[in-house]
Amino acid sequence: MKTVTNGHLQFVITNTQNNVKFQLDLFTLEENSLRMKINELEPIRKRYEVQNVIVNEPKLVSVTTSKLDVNQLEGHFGKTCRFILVSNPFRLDLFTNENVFVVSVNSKQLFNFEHYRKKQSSDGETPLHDEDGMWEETYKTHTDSKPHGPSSIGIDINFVNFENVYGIPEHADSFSLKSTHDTDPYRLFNVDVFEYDIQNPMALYGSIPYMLAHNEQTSVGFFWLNAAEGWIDITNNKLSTKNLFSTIKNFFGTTKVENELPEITTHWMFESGIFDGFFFLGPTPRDVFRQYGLITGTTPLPPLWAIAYHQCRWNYNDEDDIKNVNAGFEHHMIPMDVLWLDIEHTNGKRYFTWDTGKFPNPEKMQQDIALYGRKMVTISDPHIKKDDNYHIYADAKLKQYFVKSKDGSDYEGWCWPGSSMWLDYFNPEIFDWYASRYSYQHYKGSTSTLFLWNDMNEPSVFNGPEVTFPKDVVHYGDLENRDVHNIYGMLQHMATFKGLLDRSEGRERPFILTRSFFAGSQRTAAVWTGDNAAQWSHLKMVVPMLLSLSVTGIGLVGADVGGFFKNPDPKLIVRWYQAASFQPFFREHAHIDTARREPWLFGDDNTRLIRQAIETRYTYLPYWYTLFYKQEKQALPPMLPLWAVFPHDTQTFKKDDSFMIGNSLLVYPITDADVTEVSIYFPGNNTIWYDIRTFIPYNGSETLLITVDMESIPVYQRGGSIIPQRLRKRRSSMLAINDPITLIVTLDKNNEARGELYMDDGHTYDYKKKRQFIYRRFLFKNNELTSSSLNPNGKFDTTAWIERIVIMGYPRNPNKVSINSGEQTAIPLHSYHDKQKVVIIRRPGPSISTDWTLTIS
Amino acid sequence: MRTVLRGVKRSMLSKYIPSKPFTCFDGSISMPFDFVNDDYCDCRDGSDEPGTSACPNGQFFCENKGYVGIVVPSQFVGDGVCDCCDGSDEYENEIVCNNTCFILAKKTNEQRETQRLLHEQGVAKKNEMISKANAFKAERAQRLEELEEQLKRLEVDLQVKLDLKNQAEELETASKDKHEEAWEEQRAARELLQRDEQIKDIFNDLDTNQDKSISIEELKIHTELDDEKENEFTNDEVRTILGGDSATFDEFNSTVFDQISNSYKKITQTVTNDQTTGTESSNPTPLDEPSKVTRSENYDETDNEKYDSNDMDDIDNKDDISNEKDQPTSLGHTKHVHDDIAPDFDEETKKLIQIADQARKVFEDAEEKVQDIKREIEDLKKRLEIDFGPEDEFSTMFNECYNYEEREYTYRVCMFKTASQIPKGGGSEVVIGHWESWGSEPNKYSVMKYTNGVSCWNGPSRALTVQLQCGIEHRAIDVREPTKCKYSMIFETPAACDKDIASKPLDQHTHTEF
Repeated sequence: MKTVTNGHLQFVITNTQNNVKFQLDLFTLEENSLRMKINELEPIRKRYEVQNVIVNEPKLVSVTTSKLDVNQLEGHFGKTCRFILVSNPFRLDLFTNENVFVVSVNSKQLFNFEHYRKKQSSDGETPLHDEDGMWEETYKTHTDSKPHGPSSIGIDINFVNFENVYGIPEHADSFSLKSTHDTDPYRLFNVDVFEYDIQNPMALYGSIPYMLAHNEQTSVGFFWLNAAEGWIDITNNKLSTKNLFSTIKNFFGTTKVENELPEITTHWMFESGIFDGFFFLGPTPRDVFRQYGLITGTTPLPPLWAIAYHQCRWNYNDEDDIKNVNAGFEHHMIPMDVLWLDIEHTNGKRYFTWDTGKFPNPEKMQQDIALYGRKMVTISDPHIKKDDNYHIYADAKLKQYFVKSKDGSDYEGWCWPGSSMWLDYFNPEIFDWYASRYSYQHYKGSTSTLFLWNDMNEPSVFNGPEVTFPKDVVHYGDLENRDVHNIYGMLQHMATFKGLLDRSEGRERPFILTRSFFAGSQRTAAVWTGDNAAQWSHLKMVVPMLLSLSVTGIGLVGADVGGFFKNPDPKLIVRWYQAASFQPFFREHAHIDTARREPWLFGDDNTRLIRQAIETRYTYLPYWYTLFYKQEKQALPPMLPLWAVFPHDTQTFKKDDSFMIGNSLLVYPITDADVTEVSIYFPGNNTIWYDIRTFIPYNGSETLLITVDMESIPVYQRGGSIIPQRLRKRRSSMLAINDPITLIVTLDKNNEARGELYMDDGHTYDYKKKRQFIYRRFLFKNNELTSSSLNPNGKFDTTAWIERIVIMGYPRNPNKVSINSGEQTAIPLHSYHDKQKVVIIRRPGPSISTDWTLTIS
Repeated sequence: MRTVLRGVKRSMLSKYIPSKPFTCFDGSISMPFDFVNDDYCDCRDGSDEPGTSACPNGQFFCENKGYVGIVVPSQFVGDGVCDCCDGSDEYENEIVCNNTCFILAKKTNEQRETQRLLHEQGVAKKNEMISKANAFKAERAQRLEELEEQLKRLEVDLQVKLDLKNQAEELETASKDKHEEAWEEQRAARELLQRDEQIKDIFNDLDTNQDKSISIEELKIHTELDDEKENEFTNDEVRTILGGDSATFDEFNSTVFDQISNSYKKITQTVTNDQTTGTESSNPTPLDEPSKVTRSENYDETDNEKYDSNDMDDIDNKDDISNEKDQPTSLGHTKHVHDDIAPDFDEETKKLIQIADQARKVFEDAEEKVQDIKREIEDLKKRLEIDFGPEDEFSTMFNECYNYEEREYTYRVCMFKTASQIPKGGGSEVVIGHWESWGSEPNKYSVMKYTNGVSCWNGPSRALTVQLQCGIEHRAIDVREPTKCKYSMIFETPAACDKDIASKPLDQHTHTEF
């Protein structure tokens, strides 16, 4: 052992079979986190360490070590964290809250590290027998040349006393991950899957090698920073406490007496790279979210309109089409913020260009839409059409900017425009060059209200192995795609983000939607779940998929409303709108072969239902926006599993039919055709839930049958919360920025409630640079509702005011309601609704930005 | 207290009296007048906030002096978008809305006048179309009446002709039968005669010593008569045939001839020129060759024709059948018992046949005529069933075709029939719809639907919706494909012009309240 600095310990471990030596680095980090790296001590080729993911070099905290015996080293760090490193056989045990044993690394001794070697093993080592596929592999008609031979790493990570693990997106599978005993392991490899299956561990468009575990006492996380193809096996085990050596056993001795504990063994395997594992030791869900966010970053506050409603289709055909669709929303009085253009808007899928026959005047089109406070988004995929007359291609070709084949020539593949090449974003020069293509000067026809969509960035290569790059293509710095595959898409959307940021000189918040992603994508892009289908089963799959993304840091997530492939029937599309109106990223999108499905095309009654769903979304935008601010600050995802808010409620651990928006709204989307009642679990002991539409209260810790009709979106506000809403209607979110606020106060059993409201200009960085924002805390206690500032440094000019306060669960009709703000006092009128026990206070009137107290007597 | 009540139509002002409490229009609540336009929504129907955005279902009236007063949803009030031309919806917003009412009025009037003129001109043409349609319709009705009358007559006539035909055919058949019977008799007699000749012939042939008797020796040299070819033709066997050691002519006639006539061959050196005897056992080859040749030539011909043209199949097939008539009906089997040709019918029968032929032709002609008329009646009725608009104004467009040229395709619509897409770079025409129906109310006759076109790969069957608008000429001015394989066309026609618009007088200062 060597102490490099306080908080960084270094060890050498040896493969006793072949004497290959490895360096092991332990870093004790702030916020109950620990990082362990294992790499070859003297590799013949440098093993790739993933760049572009970690936001800042993690801060070390001091560690106090002591030898328990010759074989065991104990370390204390942070307030309550401990590790025990066992030297032979190698093993690492982690404890949180002093005594709680949570994670054990390599206790199943599955650690396997294929060191780089020369072919035919001429280095004098005990040769590992060459097996088929070690130096070359074929898949269908493709051959992977594997020039560097085998290089995989595997290890077992065991979650002790846990029965549920989550995360490692992207898979169309249940939120609580399944045992892979009878299936393939969960696979992490960014690929474009045509009409993907659900309930399946197969790889999809993005990868985040991050897993969380949760039980009644603790939440922990394990993140392995590796961008190669990965496989993760999950098995539910019983851990016999007898087999644990005495020192560990003691830690259970105090709390548990059973001889067996549940344990989840996860076996992680990556094709190359190093072991670079981060352990987040919680102990609460919020702690784990924050700990992961510190390493990989959070979703910066999106522009307000980005969390409003988006209307997309492959494709809106021309400027008239866009004009007519916009007019349709006006005519049917349906709020909408963004209109999207898919690949057909370009000149032959040459991104950064327009089909001038259909879009002769794109600036004017964007300006006409902007009159309504609305934005537009165009698509820009990473494949570049091979055409010397296409300026992007010609320029990039000249500058040698394309990804190379193993023989050094430009790699050429097939995608939408036909023969194409791919930019090598790994080169910082190319990254910057690509970013600058988004400047107004280079992207002709773009305006400040135009934003971007990066699709097909796994990347999708129609004639490639598994429809993507061969693993032996070469990136800048002699990197094989094998090592970096899963971050290619992220680099593209990071460059796009930089481009949009630069074009406004850092003033405006960019918006980018990406299909491919990796850990860290949350910093620059929204993610959608790709090409789903118009089926009830796919609607049902949305919640687990979005939850998996949310808990692994991707906050702005959504699924195509209605399903991308096929035509939804009216009931399905209505239910999908209702569900998506309570999910972070809310966009309608459809395949080119489907029938038109703008909200007014399903009959008057369904138009009304869809309008209601979208309007409901708009009323909650102040709440959503506040949640996204908290995501930026605290890495707390806006969409949460029930257990994140009710960590001790064991009933919630497997729930993925319902979810929370922040800590105040419980959402149970209806995902079956023709149901008249649904069985909803209301979490939380001693918790009251108020139906947001009928104000009817329900008790927590109960599963209840709730009667529903086509109007129903079962959503409940938690007793004890205060939610800011905008009940006035507007055609788009940005036009409502100064509209007054209604506070919905739902009282808990102690007649208390609290909530927050964040507000700013909705689109610039002035909230950061000039502290132009309002962040209020509302607290209802002892018959007083107070508004106080959560950050007095923030100042933002707004004419917004409090127009209404609704208090649910108030036991009697108040005699008098008065409000004080500074020296001003007013006696607002109120009404009381006996049956629902609701007080509605009329026009109390204070400005959003002032401190005030409302007193009920 | 406000002196101006924002957002209220003049006609509604009486409901808002500042000195009295205000009651929501739906009668639900009353409130102090101060609550009106106080930026808080009290009435469920939104009536207390006509001038603010407070009520989600409220309505704001912009007076738009100089133009037309309109009602906009309350959500347009103070949202930064200039919805009223007088800017009154943005009265307290930072953004400045220029008063565009005057310009708008001017522009609208100009547009309206242009439209009016267009409709006026269009209606003139439309009226022509209607009168033409009416004339046609009357003509068609009359024609139909005539045809039905005619049909009735012809059907009676047809019956008469059928009877006549049957009578003539009866006579014809009787006469023909008689003739054929006679011919059969005659032929039987001749066959008998022929047999006698043959007997004589063979007898003389066998009777080499001319002793009027066939001896064993004389017959024995005809080994072809030996039933058991493997061994010798013995005297006993010969004797069995002869029925004794010799046979006289009468004996030969009664017993021997029938035994040997089928196998008997003349001794070769006694070649005769007579071809009429012994032909039954000779090879029929010479007859075959020419017919085979003809046949194969004919195959080639038909094949060639088939490759040469593809839309004349029907006619070709007919040719094939008529060619067949000249062909043998059986290959190889050319056995014709007699070279006899039946004699012509006698004059009387011939006459009867002629009469019957005539009767048949007359009947068939009459029958064809009836069919033609029936078809015409059906067509007329079908056309009469098509809805050509309230005034039959679309009637003259029936089956008229119009093209629209686009970058890649020509779109063609044949009114009330079919619509198709014709690729410009070659390739076959694709039917994108058959006439289905008009649109739905209230503007039923402004939309034509052509459905059930050729199915799309992986998709529904193609369909075309035609939006009709007033124009002086019939022409398609735009075709799009908003959803894959669902086409929409804008079509100008005088038939879509509106006489109400055409005759609406121009009012410079309209204050319509919608």
